[in-house]
Amino acid sequence: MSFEERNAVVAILSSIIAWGLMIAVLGQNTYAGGYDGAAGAQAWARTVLWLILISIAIMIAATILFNIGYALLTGDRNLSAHADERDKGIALRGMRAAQVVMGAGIVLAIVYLAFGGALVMFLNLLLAVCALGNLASEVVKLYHYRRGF
Amino acid sequence: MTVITNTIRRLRFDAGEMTQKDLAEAVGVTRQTLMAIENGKYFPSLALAFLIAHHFGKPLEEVFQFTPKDKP
Repeated sequence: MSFEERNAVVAILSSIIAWGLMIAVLGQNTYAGGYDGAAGAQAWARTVLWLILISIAIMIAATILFNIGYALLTGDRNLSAHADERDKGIALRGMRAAQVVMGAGIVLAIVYLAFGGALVMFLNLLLAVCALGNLASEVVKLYHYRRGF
Repeated sequence: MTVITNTIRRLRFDAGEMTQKDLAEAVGVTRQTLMAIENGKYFPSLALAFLIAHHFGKPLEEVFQFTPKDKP
């Protein structure tokens, strides 16, 4: 498993954890009315900023732990982060998948807002679309690493 | 549809059982990429193909073979 392939696995796992946390926190606060009123969007943004920091910490910890665990289990001490032409090609495929998911999702979120949806739910949808796009990108990358590219 | 095959495995054997890791390092790719090329799961760029051929001191067509297949 190359460094980039391991990164794809870690990104999928940590995305699920981090975005699960975001959905739980934001969903709970949204339904409890924590983001209602004129300052609702600002409160939402502050919560999201904290959650982004926590997500980054989760991602860093997961990357370190996964790579240490991988090295211990397989004996492969090569932790080179060198990305070659195949890695870059696969990354491009992943980015395309993310673009498709995010593009479609953003349009759907705008349609939701246009037809009377709440602003905070719209923001939640945008965030969820970003999460799904990122997840789609990593899944496509892992698929190409496993099945060939 | 086209088929591109290669003789990298045999060339490595002829070069004193050179490992995939050694060849990968020599041409600047990961072992996984070299393995994918050997197994026909990834077709390298022209530059990488030339680099691999150059490493073995062979012309490109001795390392990579192109077989065009006509559509039925």
